[in-house]
Amino acid sequence: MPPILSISNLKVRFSTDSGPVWAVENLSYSLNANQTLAIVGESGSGKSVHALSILRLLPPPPHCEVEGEILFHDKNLLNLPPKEMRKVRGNKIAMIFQEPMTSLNPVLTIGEQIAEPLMIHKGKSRADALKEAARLLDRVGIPDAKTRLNNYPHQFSGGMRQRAMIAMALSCNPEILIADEPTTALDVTIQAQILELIKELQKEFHMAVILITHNIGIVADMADQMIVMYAGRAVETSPMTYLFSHPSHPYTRGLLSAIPSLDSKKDRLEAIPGRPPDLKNRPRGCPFSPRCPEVQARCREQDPPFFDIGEGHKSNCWLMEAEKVPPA
Amino acid sequence: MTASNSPILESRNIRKFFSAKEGIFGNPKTVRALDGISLSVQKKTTLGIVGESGCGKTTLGRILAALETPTEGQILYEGREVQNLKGRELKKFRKEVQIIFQDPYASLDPRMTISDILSEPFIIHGEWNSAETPKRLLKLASTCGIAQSHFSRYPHEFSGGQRQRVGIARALALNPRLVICDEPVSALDVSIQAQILNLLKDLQEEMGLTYVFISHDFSVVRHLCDEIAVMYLGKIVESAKADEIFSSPQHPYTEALLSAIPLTDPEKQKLRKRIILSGDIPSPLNPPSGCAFHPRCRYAESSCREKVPELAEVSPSHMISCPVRPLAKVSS
Repeated sequence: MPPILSISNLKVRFSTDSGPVWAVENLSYSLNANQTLAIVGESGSGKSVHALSILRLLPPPPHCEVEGEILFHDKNLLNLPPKEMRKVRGNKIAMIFQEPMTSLNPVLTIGEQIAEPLMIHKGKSRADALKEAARLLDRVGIPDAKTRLNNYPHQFSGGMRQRAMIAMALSCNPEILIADEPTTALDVTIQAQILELIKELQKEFHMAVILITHNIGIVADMADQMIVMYAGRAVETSPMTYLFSHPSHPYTRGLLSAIPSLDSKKDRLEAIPGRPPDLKNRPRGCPFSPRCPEVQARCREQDPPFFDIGEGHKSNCWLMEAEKVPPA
Repeated sequence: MTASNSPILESRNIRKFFSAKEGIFGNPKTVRALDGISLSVQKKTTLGIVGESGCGKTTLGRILAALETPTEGQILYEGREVQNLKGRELKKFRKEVQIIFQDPYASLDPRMTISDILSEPFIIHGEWNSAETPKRLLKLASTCGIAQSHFSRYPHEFSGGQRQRVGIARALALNPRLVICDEPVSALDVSIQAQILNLLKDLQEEMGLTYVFISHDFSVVRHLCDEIAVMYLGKIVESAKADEIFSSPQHPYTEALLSAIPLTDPEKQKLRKRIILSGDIPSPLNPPSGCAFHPRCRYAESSCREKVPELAEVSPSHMISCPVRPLAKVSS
């Protein structure tokens, strides 16, 4: 089966007063139907910017330039005329944002906001769309959905707002759901509820999910495939199970051991020294080299390519050169 | 534990009520932000306070640091009641008990340089000595990982992790004995979070500090704390030694909270059963009757709706406020 979304050599550049900043560099991946892809990285790694570029929600040039190719089925989203793009956005590809408070419109009722995409994309009448909105709101677990439709976002708690966002995203039965840090603003018990809900709905609606997060823990049991990003690029791509048992990139290893874990008590956390590079003035060679515990002379000079180390596992690190499998 | 048995800080039955009005003409309502909190912190140990948003953990931290006065109850610092401290004694308390705030962006004055920020405590407490203090400041800064070249810069020039280091250095400037850390790492990325947690741990050993560590993140708390108190809606629902809470959580809320945290190992995570709590955290304006947790509790019985449970010991120094659960354990 061909992938439903395939991204190749995606580059995003912002123009700032102090020169250009490459927020995403040479990102490539493909996503199959029904698959969950996790994209993990720290702040400033380019994970959210890449999601916005899929939906073409970034500012227009010259402020921001996007290069490369984003193929959705066989259409390149980057070349789509705005009118065509609007048919995809919110319809075929939907997104849940991090902040459920700021991404809902405070002066419209929840019902109107969920019904809106149904009226625009599916051409439903207002009454039908509201009926459907009530069904969706009920499906995402909001009790007494019919009366809740008339509420405004401020009358909802954080978890309920995120549920409403999910209902809105699902309203047109999208093929791809992009969830950008869907639980970061929520408490742990509510986080567990929302993640479970996304998992259930994925099965029910047969969607592919792109789950963007900084928390490697929450994706451990949700994703099939994972991409780790650092300073605007993918440093490691791997099937979920491999990534935890055989992390190949020193950054991934660092990230895994820096997390205080519940299941074992360590005396000291292994912190990664230093901090992520300033994207305006990135280091020569591998961007992780200034913080890397296994750095070699070559890393500071030459940018490593992506080495395919077998079983769908790819690593952007010179250390893996010896392990690479020859192209078949 | 290496602690001696005299608590450095104790709180006895603290209550804090705020009044809130619904609308301009609404009747004022009381929010019971804290409802009868008793705890004690042993010297040179770390007490963790865990809970979700709105459970009152930050208010508790502010009261323990005497930044707010409780509506009822007492705070004892080394056996003396904090509310009665005045003048010189209060100043001594302020010097010995420091606080590190959650948001490193809001807790530093944007118009002061790093060197101004770090010098201020010395000036306020009249301990500035132009021969000694600059040297001490340099040492302090380097312990906390701040370079000397940063002294003339302003907070906006730093990243979140760097700012938090400044916040920590400021809290430690006057050699405090007790530091209240209010979510000091929740605004930071994991790789930076680990650096700060290690720093706090090193400083504790070096300076013999006592910490009260407030957090919503159980895994962070486990890493640092000797004892843990779990809060829900203004009350402590369980408190015990850290290892014991993790190995045998007794209160249904603690149990659910722990199981909601995903493990970083996908194999282990698959084997684990997640307890998903239904419903939201109730509003403290309108708390449920009886046990505040009963609407979300899977063991709830009809009596839970009526009677407010008291904290009771289930095993030595392990307290929970749930009369249903331990009985269920014995009978099963």
